[in-house]
Amino acid sequence: MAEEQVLRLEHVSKDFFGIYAITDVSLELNKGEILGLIGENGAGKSTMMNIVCGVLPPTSGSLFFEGKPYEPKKPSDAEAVGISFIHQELNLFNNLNVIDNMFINGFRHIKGLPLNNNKEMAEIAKSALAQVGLDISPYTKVEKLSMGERQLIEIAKSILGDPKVIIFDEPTTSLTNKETEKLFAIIEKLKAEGKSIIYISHILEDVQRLTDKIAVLRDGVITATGKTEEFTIDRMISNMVGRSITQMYPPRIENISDEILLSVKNLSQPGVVKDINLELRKGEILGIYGLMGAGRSELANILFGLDEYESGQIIFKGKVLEKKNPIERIKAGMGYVTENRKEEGLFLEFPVAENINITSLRSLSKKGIVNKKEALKNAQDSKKMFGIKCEAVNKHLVKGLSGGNQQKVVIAKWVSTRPELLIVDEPTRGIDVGAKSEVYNILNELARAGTGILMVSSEMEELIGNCSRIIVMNKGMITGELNNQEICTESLLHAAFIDTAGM
Amino acid sequence: MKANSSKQIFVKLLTSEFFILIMSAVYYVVIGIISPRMFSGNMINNIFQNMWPLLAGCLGQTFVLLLGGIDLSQTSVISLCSVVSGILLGGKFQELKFGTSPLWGNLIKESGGVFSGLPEITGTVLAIVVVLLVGTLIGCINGLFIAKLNMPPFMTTLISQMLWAAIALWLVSSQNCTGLNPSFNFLGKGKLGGFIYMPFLIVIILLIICEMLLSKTVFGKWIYCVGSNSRAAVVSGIPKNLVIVCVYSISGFCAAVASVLYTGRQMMGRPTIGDGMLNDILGATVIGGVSMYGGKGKAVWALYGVLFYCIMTTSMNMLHLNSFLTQAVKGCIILLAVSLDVVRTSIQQRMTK
Repeated sequence: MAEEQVLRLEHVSKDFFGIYAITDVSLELNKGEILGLIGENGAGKSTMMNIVCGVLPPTSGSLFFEGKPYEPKKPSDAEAVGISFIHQELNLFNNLNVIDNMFINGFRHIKGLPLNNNKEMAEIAKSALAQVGLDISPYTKVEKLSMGERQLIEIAKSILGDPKVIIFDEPTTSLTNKETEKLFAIIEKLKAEGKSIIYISHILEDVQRLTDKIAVLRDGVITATGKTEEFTIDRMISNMVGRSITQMYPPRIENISDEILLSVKNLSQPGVVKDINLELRKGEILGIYGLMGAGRSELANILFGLDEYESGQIIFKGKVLEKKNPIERIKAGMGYVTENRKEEGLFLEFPVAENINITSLRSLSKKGIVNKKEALKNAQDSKKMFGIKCEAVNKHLVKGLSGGNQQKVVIAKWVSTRPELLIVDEPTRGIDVGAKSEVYNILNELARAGTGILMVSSEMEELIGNCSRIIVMNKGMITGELNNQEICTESLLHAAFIDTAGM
Repeated sequence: MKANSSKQIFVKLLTSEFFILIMSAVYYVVIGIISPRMFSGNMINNIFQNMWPLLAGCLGQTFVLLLGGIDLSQTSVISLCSVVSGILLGGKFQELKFGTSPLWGNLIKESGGVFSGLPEITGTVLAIVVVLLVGTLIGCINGLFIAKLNMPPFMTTLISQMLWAAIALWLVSSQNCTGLNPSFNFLGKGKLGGFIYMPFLIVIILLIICEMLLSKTVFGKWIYCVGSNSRAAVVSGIPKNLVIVCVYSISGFCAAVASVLYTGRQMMGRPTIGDGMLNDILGATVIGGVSMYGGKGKAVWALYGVLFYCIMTTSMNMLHLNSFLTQAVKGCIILLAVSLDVVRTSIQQRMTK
């Protein structure tokens, strides 16, 4: 079969004010091929895709589409030639229905009238939904759909224009495993139809499974390309980070005492969690695994006193806690690294120091007056301890930090309260491999020093790599508990799906 | 290269917190060159005297804006507190004027206000305590509605504004209460030891307290945090509701201070004294650079804003602009200030990238 080239980048570079985001990138994409694009955050993946999609112009180099020079000036130029980009953060209007969302870029009108032809659009939408295997009415409001269904709507929307190239940017971050499987089946189908696909993801197993070809970016340079068969996960990682992380997870030296730190008894809140019982000891890292919507984060919110619960007891250090009172919990020695650091963890407009100190102001002040010297010292110590990469802690705004460093700031702000129990929800979401490994080290270090850690996550590997025990949740209930010896991917999955499998 | 550096200087100037202070000086000199009367002692005195009561109100508004809220009820607090001072300290009340007041015969009597029988200083001190309590309490009520019932600050304080303005008029049947204690009037226009202008002294102390509260205390940090990201504040263990209630109470308190100064200056309790002041308070605060999006601002910025605002108002009066035009010009300047806030924010964002 003669390979037909669809998209080609030749020596493309892009600099922002003299700093190169990508340098001399050359890449080819053939018809009916899936290209996996991997790299750490900030490696230049987004810049590259923005150039392909006409959002940014390249500083030098040229692009070819189906052999012809291709110079997109604006995103609609890319759409016109047949390049479609499905963003990581979905661009859907949740208050509108599926049809409106699919045709938002150009509603079909009734001939000669400025009125929308809803009937025609509904027909087209229906067939597009059928193509992605989504069995819902096109009149459904998007807000009623699950994240996975929304992703499929985006795909349906993009195939309406019959694109030749579809770019997926981290499509699986908010999907359940089942939805991910469905997505992969659709991608395979699109490939069979002769469409070319660029698949960007942090989940290397998926990339290995799905793609034909892989390109690895590091610091704006392509460090390796080749057929997927030639890549092992280890090779991908070493190409991405420039070194081989043989030990992603720190070796565990467990120091679990017999003393029970947290115990939860028959905790229930209708529609959220049901009959939760668990115990956590000093120095233990307890994992809570569950799929999207299993009630993991909701449980964490209740434990930290942010949300209400109807019945049951939360006992911390032998004392029954009040229902909804995070302040009491912080004073008692709890900390909570939330799942969304930007929305719930950080004050983006404030310097690093303010962010780190905010939880420990009570100990950094005397009669309500903040001791500036001590506060600065506390922040500087944290910076050193966690290796936060920033300039002066009292000047550098948190919004100017990378995701990994932001996450370290959130963890630092809780560690500086010297917590006895730290709840961490998705501690490594959206941060690169190097930072992930650092976060794991920090958490293990804390556990070794006697802190109890409740690690809530949807990433199986990180739980297996860090936890001594894992509790599995499904539909708000605990459906399984695995200890150190039994932990393996299959048993976790089995517990997570137990309910659906039984049906 | 040269163009580049002058551009850099401009950007630096624009994002500097002293920008509006510099602008005040530039504006003053430019107007002074056009009309040298601007430099006369009379004019300077005028600007100086107008600044302090307005600044008291603006300081309260600064706290509220830092939370990302707004307090529209300050003007009514000023009016109501003025009425309360009048009722407490007024001289003789005529039945012809006050006979229809709901307080006629119990609190408002022909013989004089509630505290008019007390020794003068005691009466004045008690009246001030009551007035400040009234202002703080109204702010506290606003805060409770906003914090506990999660009502939008705009609506809550708008309703509050309507309610208390109406009550102020109702209490005294729309009449002015005259004949206040001279010691009370001294606060609004007197000079301590013959040369320290009382409102200046009072409001400078208030400014220092506010500045300390915001920059040095834990409570101050809490205000900035709630204003910047209230969800993260709750997760970090900040008592958000308490902060909101306290901040609106402070706003009410500051408005009450302003009321005492205005009332003392006019030597009467007037139920309409605060009318039309909302533009001045909000305008001056925003001109000073306090962001309406919350989380950004300093107490001392309100001083800069008030200085600019008072120079502008005085200059327009001096140039005999007609009053309609004056309002239009003021409006444009506030609009400029708000757009400046947006421009500065976006410049700063680009600089941190």
